[in-house]
Amino acid sequence: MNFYIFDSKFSRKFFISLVLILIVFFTFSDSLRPIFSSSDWRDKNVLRGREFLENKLDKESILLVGSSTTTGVFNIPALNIHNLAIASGSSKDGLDIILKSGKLPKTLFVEVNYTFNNLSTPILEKIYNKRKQDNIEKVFEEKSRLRILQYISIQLSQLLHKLFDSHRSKSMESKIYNEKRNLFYKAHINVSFEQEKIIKNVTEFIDQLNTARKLGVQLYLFKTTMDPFYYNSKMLTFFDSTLHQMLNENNYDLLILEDFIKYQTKDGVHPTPQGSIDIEKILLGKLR
Amino acid sequence: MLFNSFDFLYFLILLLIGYYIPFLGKLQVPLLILSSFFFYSYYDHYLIVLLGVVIIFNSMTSYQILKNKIYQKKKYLMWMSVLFNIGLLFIFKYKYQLFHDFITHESNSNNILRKFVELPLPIGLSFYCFQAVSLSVDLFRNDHKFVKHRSFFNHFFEVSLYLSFFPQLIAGPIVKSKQFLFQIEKKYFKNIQFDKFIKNLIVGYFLKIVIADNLATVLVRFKYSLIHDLASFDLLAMLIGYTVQEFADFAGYSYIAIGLGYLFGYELPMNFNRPFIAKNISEFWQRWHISLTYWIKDYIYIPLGGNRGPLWKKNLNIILSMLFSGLWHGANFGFAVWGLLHGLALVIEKSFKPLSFILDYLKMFLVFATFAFLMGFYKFGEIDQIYTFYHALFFNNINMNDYLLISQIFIYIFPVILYHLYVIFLSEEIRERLERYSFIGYALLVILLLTDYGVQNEFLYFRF
Repeated sequence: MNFYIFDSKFSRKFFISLVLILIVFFTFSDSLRPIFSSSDWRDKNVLRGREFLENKLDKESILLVGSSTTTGVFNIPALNIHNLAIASGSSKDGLDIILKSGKLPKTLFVEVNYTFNNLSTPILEKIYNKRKQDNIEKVFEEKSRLRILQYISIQLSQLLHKLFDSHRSKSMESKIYNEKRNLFYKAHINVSFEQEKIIKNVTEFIDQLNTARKLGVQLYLFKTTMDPFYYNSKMLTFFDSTLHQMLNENNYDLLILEDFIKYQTKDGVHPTPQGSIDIEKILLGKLR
Repeated sequence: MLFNSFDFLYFLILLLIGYYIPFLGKLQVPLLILSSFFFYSYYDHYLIVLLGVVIIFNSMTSYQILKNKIYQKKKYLMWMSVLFNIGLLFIFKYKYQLFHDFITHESNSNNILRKFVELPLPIGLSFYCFQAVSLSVDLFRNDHKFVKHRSFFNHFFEVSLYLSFFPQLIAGPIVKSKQFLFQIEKKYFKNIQFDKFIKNLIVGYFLKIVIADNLATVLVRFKYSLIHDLASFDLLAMLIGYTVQEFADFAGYSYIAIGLGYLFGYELPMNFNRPFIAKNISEFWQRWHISLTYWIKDYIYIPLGGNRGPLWKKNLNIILSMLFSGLWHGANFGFAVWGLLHGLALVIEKSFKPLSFILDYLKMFLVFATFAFLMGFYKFGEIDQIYTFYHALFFNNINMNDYLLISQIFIYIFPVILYHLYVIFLSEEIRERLERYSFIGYALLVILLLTDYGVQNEFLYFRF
């Protein structure tokens, strides 16, 4: 029987070398996968939600809900504390997941920043929807796959970072910090807003808190302060006054984490790894 | 149907089995036509009607051109066909501009015209309309040595296959009738040129799936609303990345089409020939989207007078031809200016030959830099967006560079750089020696296809 395809020298050699390379590839792919794979914050958002919904919750467990400010907090699996913070969202998303699933923790840390936002519907849909959950599994398979070029590019970026960023003067560091701050301010803080919308969103948040409290969850509310530069924003000023007023009316205490955030952030908003550890220490201190 | 989907793989396997079953040999052409219709209308069934109308009309007019002996009548038929095809393309491409005022009038809301205007541009329309023009004009010019004109029935089948042949139906290469029709005959499995099929397919899928699709993800922030936040250097990296993405996406499609053509016994013309090593703009257009360049040359530039007549007329012909190329891409300001500026660049180059004394490598760099720079017009389209982009490209003095972005762009464009520089820096002798071991390179590309495929995206040229 003649398959013709193997008639030429090129085809024969090509298929032989392909088979050999594939054998080597599949033999070592499992051990290489953790090194070469990558995932980003969008996937981690969904992963958090999925893990929470699929795993059993201990009666004594402690949960944290929040925004990208607190995604780096309580990430040590050994502790009986789970993080349901949603980057680009707010604690309203985490509360929505907890209340809809009926999996209530004993203690809940609630970061109140960004609760002027609507619920992050696209992220929540991905977490809840069964059909989309299947797709998400594919996304995680996809993200944990071996990606050679992606890996090389990450290594290269780290090298560039070391080459160009490690020798920066303090004045340059401060210039770059200001640039990051300005960009974040323009994109997320100094935006046009409707007062009614903020009032509605904060009211929804308070309703969520009230429901959780009625169900016996012990709540610890906290707020991380930003670089004072951001407080030029009319939107943020209005949000703060609205939130504080509503929390007072509903008898909630609010812990304001003042100082560290000023010095331990990348951009005046998001904490560095050390900043996250500082938040952990303060929150755990509240439990003692 | 997308070449980069599993649906297509199943379709291809089934078709291949049917196509080469020995006792079905006589049905090869009808089978290919039916499969092409299935392939084309896989997502939008109405497309089948459009393609059917184009085929029936052009089969009839081209048959009449072929049979008729009166010159004037042939000419009349040829113009009828040209106007029909270009008119159809014009109406679909510019329907929004043509009917916008009419449909925005309140009393005309919810009418059929509105529904028509809201239809997306049928994919591949410009490609098969251009092929149809080529058919009529070449027959009129008596440029066909190989056309077998037995009966209308046979002619109809040949034209149907020529216009609908699925590998190149949606995004080219634009095949001229004289390059294709003579190839229609019974095909045998043993005659497939597997080497060419494998090489074209691997390079094509690598360019599309690994380079273009990954660059599409990396460049997700390369859009008008985010220009302000990006440093000039990042924008420059993105512009270069976008240029390479366009190349990889379109050249990838062309290579796959050519490879698939070999699988069914048809040789399609080369559409990209390492365009970024061109030493002048004129050479660039002989290496980039070659089939469109030659289509414009044969059916626009030469009929306009080509390089005959006074200098101003020659230059005007060049500019008009390139303007046509720009407008073919789309109905917006950016494409028109993009085409116009390429026309001007060609005129300047031809008139003053300013690059003649410069080193070859510098010439290549200047041609690439010109092409990449003009891609800003191509990408952003509207005048305010174009202005904002170029302003940001020069004046966004932000010190904070996104190293991951720059690294990713560099890593994904690197194989394309190698693919181009390979022919410049290595002598023919060394290349021949390396060619003996090329099988290893192709096998490694397959591995990268398995590991580094990007998120599945449509081919960019589907929108044209």
